[in-house]
Amino acid sequence: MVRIDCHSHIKNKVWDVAGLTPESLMEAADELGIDSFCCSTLTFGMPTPDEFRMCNEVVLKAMREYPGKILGYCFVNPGYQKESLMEIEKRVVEDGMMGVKLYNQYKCTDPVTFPLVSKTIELKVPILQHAGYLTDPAGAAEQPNISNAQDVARLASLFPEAMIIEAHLGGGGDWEWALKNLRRARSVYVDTSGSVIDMGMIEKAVKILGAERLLFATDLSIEEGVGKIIDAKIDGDERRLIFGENMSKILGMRSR
Amino acid sequence: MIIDFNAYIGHWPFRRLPAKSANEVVDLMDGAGVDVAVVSSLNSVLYADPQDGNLEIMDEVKKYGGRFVPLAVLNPRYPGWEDDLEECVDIGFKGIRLYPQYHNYMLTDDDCMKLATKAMKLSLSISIPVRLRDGRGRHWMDSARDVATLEVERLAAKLPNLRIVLLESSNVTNTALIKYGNIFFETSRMTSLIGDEIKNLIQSVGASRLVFGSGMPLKYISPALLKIKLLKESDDIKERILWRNSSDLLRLM
Repeated sequence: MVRIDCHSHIKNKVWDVAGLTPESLMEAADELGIDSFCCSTLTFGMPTPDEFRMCNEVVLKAMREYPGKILGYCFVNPGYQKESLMEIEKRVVEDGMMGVKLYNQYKCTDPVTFPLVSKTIELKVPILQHAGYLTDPAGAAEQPNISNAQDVARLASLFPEAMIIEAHLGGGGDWEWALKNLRRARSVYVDTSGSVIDMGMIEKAVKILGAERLLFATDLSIEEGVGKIIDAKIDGDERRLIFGENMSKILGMRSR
Repeated sequence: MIIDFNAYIGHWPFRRLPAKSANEVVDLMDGAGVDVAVVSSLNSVLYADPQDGNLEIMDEVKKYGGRFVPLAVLNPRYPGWEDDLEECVDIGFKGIRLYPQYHNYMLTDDDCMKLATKAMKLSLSISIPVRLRDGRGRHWMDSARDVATLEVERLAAKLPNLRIVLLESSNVTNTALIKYGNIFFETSRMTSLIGDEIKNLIQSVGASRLVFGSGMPLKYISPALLKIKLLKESDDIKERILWRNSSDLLRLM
């Protein structure tokens, strides 16, 4: 059974997360049977073009060290629209990155993101959109521009051809609220990552969205990411779709 | 042998749980290879009188022999906890679980200190979940805080012979908690393969102060099991974490 982690990270000189190295991911790959990790690396606040280029260089280096094992998302800040578009073109077309990572600098429904979304449609690559519905006031205040599932559904309605992945069902606050909002946004995929492993989460996601819209992922929670899919009371076909077949299909869109 | 020190029976009012009864939790245990679950009543978290929840789960778990070790939930601010504790000990509860964040007190309040002192005299451990759910997605009526490190540290310092088991603990290696030999740490929220939190904690405090727990049925079980399975430590250390430390704490053998 193929296992593709559609939301992973490696550290960089600014975001220095303990142990989050390509080597550690390779060790995890061996231990947990993960075939590939789709990785980005980030800086926070309002990253400048130099900063997001630095991030993408770090990912590119890992991609070259572990070809086929580490795949790369191109991270950009939509506020630097011209530079972001150039960066996406370069990283996807020339460097072989497999998608675009958008964080919380702007709501995904802010028109500043629209040219980037159009670019991903043209290049046939997915967008991994950081998202969450944070019900804790302190947490919400820390990320005033975080996109929630309603925003993601709205973006999908504006760009029905876009392949949008809502990030971390288990790391974006009220996951039941997210599922309810995404039920009818049928072009949106949801990644299952995050440290939250509420029993029943995956089963409910399958029931509301269908297994063909769920993508296995770990983010920074590797055992949680794998364990929740193993434990979920779903059938073997659904587990295969979630663990890797759905993401394989997304990655295969570029070759069509 | 696996003893899960962090398990529950009962209803959680803010979300549907796939398993609530002892019967359903036993099925989960069998599926995951867990031999014994240390359980308390989830109902007691929000019942005004937690003793009713204690008596409910005792009725359930006694049908399963040694598969369950029941812990009593007590609220030191609610009248009659002394009588309830006595009754719980008499009918077979093996320790205490406290929820200061839901029962609205601090661990070092006088009422709690009285209860903790009594537990210590009875050689009962007290386990305290740092939290029962991730606050980022909390229900609008569930505003409980995470139990703070400092609160636990002060309790441990005041009663050095009281054994405290901190459930759902994480990022403790660089805190003052590790100085207190009477604090034990449950591992379900710690990193293992990436981040090495469990390994680092073992290096700091030794393997005798870690206990395996999963948080079931609030949480899936496999993530917690994977963390111990993938730990690069000897079988002896893994055995300690998976059951021997819990067995010692609860005086099961």
